[in-house]
Amino acid sequence: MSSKSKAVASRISEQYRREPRFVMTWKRLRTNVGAIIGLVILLILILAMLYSFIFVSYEDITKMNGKHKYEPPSAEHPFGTDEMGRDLFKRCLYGTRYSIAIAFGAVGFGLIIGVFFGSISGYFGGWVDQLIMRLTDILTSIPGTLLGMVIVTILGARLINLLIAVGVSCIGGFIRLSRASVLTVRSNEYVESARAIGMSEFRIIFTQVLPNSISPLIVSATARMGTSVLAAAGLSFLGFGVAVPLPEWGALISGSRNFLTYAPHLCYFPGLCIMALAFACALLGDGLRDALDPKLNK
Amino acid sequence: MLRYSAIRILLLIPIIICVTFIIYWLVDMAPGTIVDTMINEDMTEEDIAALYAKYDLDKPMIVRYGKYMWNLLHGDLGASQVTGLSVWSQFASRWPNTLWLALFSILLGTVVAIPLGIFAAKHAGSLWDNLTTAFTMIGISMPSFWLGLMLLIWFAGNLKIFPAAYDGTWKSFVLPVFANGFAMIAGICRQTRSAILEVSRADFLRTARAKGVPERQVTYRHELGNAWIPIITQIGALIGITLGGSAVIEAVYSWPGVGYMLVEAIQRRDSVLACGTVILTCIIHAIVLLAVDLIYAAVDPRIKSAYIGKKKRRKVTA
Repeated sequence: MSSKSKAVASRISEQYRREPRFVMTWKRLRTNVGAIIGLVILLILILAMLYSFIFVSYEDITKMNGKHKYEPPSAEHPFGTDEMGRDLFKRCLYGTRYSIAIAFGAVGFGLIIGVFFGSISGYFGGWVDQLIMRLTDILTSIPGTLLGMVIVTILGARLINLLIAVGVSCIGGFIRLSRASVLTVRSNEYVESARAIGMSEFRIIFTQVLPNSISPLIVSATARMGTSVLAAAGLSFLGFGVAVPLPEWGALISGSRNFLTYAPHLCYFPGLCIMALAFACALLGDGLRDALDPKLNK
Repeated sequence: MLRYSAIRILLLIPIIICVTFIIYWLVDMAPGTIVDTMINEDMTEEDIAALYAKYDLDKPMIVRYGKYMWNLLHGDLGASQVTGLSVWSQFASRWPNTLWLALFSILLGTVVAIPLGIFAAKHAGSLWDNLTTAFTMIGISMPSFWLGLMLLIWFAGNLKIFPAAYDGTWKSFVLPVFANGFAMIAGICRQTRSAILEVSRADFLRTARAKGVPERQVTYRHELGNAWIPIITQIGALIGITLGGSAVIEAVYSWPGVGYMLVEAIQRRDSVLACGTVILTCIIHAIVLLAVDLIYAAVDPRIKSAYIGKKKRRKVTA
């Protein structure tokens, strides 16, 4: 091949080369105002969490101060103080870690188990599929809140158990979703050719099928993060969650219930924190859906 | 349709059996039994053993499960270990309160959300659409118990318009129904908007308009008629969630429903009451999900045709 034709070939391939999917998605996401707002809120909350790891100690959030009980928000205490004179702002800041851990941990837990069983179910079909889908039917017929309450009661009220309880209730949805997207990808030619060159079944699932069916999973997982935060806060509110002295946002709201009439700020601020995180996840999930699937972009 | 319904109802039986087993097993694993709260220092080994025998706790789990299921088939869910009242009667007396709360919330959600969703879809991209979207995003990310508490502060505490707890009058329904229904308005509205937008580019709409069908009829008959499936899915899922998960709202308003009863039962280690409540709620939940699936089949001719008897299909094609 002459050098000239080589140059032409490389120019053509340059022209038609597609950008990596990640870059393409990001470029589309960048134009979506809602998604950017969600991303910024999420980043602020993550930064707040990192800040609280370094600058807010356990003593800071449990230190009692009898002189400053039930103080409304002021410059010194931006969120006011609670029934023991503790600074609510620091307690909310400290609580960021629990809700962010739930958002990522519970969904990650559900995603790993759900995708594993869902992709096996969709790829192999037959009796494996039947078995897994019938078990999924059973799992999803138990309401999430009830299952969460029972699981936390058995395992004990700790963060990791709350995470498992909320994670288990997302498994069913992820199994169905990953099964459906594997089913649509399974019959493509590249899967056929991977089989022809002798790849093992599991390697085909994890290197060929899953990467091509991941978009709906990413969208659903992001949206699920928001609902998981709400579900976990609800369980903590009922007393099935992170135990009392620790400032989990749902537990803070639960603790404020006895002082609603004269210290409503104790209820307002932790709720706003929960809402901010859930709101950010919902916006980001919507933005990702539009960015990953341009068909739906109106 | 009859055949399809019959198959689906029969499939429900193994699911319910498995669910009851899982729940019984989970509740059985919970640390602390009712006996632990009764043991005191004066008791001898024999007394304690007799106490265990009284509650069948000396037998293996599977035996107790078998006995439990046998009694369940005869409509007996045992008696609460704390109050001694039968689980069935306690559930039956509390259940209507949960049901009414759920039904009114769903009604509020549907009546407000579907017109709002249609409106947003018709004006897609406009300021009103963006405002609706912002409102629904806030709605789905607001914790319902938090909204419930804020409503308590404003309307029961400051303004004293509505009572703070259940007192049997219609006024006590207003706050919980709104707290519960707000997220539903948001969820159903989002679903309606995207379902209508999905349908809005279909060719049959252009045909309908070309025929001279009035725009109002195009919207309500042709567009909404084809957008029902995802909307019904959403409403069905929400009914399931409220029937099973209204414990949070019930706890906020001290609502005498089954969710609040369950929370109290777990806190008191009353495992018979807790187990019975969870199992009955799961059975109701499964029946609601089934009903939603059957409604699909009735609404969507494509699903219906897949389950039509083979004979009938041959007749149609012939």
